Amino acid sequence: MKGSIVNVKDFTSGIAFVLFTLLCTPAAVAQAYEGIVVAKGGELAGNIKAKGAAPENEVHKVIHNPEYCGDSISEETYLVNPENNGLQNTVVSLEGITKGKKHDPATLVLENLKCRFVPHVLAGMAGDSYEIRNGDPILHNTHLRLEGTTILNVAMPENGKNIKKPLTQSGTIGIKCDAHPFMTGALWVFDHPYFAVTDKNGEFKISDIPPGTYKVTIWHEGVPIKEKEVTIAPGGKTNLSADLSLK
Amino acid sequence: MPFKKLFLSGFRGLIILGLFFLILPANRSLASDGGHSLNLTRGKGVYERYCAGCHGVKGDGRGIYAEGLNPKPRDFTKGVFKWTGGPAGSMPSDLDLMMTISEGVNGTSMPAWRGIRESDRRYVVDYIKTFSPRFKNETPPRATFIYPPPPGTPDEIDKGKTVYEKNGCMACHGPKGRADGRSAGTLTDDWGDAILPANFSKGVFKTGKEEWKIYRSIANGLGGTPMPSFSDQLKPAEIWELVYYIQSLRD
Ligand code: HEC
Ligand code: HEC
Repeated sequence: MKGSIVNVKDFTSGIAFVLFTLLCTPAAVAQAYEGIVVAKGGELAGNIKAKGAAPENEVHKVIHNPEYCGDSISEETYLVNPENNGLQNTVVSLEGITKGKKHDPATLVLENLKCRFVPHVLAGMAGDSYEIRNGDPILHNTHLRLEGTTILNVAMPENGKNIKKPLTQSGTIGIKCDAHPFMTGALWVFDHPYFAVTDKNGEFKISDIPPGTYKVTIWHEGVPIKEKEVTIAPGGKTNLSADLSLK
Repeated sequence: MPFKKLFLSGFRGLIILGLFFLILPANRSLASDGGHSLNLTRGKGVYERYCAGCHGVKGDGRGIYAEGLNPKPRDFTKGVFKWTGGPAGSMPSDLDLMMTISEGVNGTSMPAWRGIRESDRRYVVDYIKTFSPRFKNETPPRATFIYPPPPGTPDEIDKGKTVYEKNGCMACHGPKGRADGRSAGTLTDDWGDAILPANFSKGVFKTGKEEWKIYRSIANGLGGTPMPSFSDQLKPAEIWELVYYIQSLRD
């Protein structure tokens, strides 16, 4: 039959296209977070400590700008409070939560200060913004890699402008200054507002959690990632503490 | 018309109609995509013929000729590109990719592919974009505006020197642009390889002779490399002064 509707070539390429689309569709499309009024929310709080003596932080010889940064500088991987063993810069977060407290967009400040990134570890939610500043009288560059892939690399000269950008995707962002390779940091971006970074005493608090059972992720840059399960009772306080072995 | 014949032709019509509905959605997107899948098939052909030797059949930069090449052929699976219209870290547009492919990367093993038909270059652009999901999830931003160049007087070259020194280009490129800055030996790229800053004393730019492209490299930086973007920090006139100054560093 001439002029038939079905043309073999179209047909195969059609199939190829369908297959192609199927193959290229991301397996799990991230569900958007929904902010609601949380009735009888619970709190998760606790203390993350270092088990035993903390390893020495790596010390780097400063090759570029020693006149300002000093001859050597130590990394800030392990910040353990000598008084209570509290481990700073641990990121604690709930997993797979798609509905909960409302989150007002925040701006996280990342400062280049005395040849370090301050703070060394940050956490935010997709939709927040970050602002990069340079308080040093030398050129830094702030190079952000989301899961290893460059998403931003801005020059931060002396007296330069602050750079403000939105956080559009969740994931782990590694921070580096290529001009001073010992300068590193991490920025965690979540799809929800249930996360915290431990303070100088290793303490953290996450509030207004809808009652239920959750997986909690505990991350510290010097330790393999840990998972725990917690149950949040209505209006209750749940303690989550952990001793992390740093070696 | 005998009943049997009517039934048969009706039945056949039904089958054809059914098939039609089956492929209708696919065919529709084909049409609205300008025959996308067909282009991909062609793009694959062009790619495997001309590019896979270096960039690898899987686009991972591990073609049979890749070993020993420095810089290494691009690993497309990461979805990071050096020459983009927007700042370092953003996605390249089809036009950006077309330009790199047509003009090659000066001073490296990446050839200029002007010799292959323009339509084939377009198909191969479509095909390269299938190697990373980033092309589906992110769109290229508006290209950085390239301001018209000032005349390039000796005065501007002098000013460029000051801008160069004040903005720390030396950290990587060195005081005279000889790729011997103090941090030059410590630099790495997104692909995990050591990378050297450009050596301006050679007078060879990867993007060739066109000055607006040198401007673009300074304004946007180069994605996946330590070369940062300066467009937020420098005025267009200062970037042009830098362009003139670093060209004057040629031996
Ligand atoms: C002889 C080896 C070789 C062949 C063949 C080759 N390339 Fe390349 N290509 C390279 C190298 C090396 C680079 C990296 C240059 C650099 O990073 O400085 C590169 C980089 C690229 C880039 C990255 C541009 C960017 O912005 O980062 C694209 C796109 C590209 N090639 C496309 C192609 C296409 C399309 C073909 C085939 C038509 C091809 N290449 C064939 C060696 C090759
Ligand atoms: C942190 C290190 C670093 C700093 C600071 C830096 N660059 Fe670069 N630059 C690089 C690297 C590395 C490359 C090479 C990238 C490549 O070849 O893939 C490069 C490449 C370039 C290129 C492209 C050269 C070409 O072959 O096309 C230009 C132009 C350039 N830099 C200018 C500058 C200027 C001007 C400054 C200061 C305003 C500067 N750079 C600051 C690391 C740096």
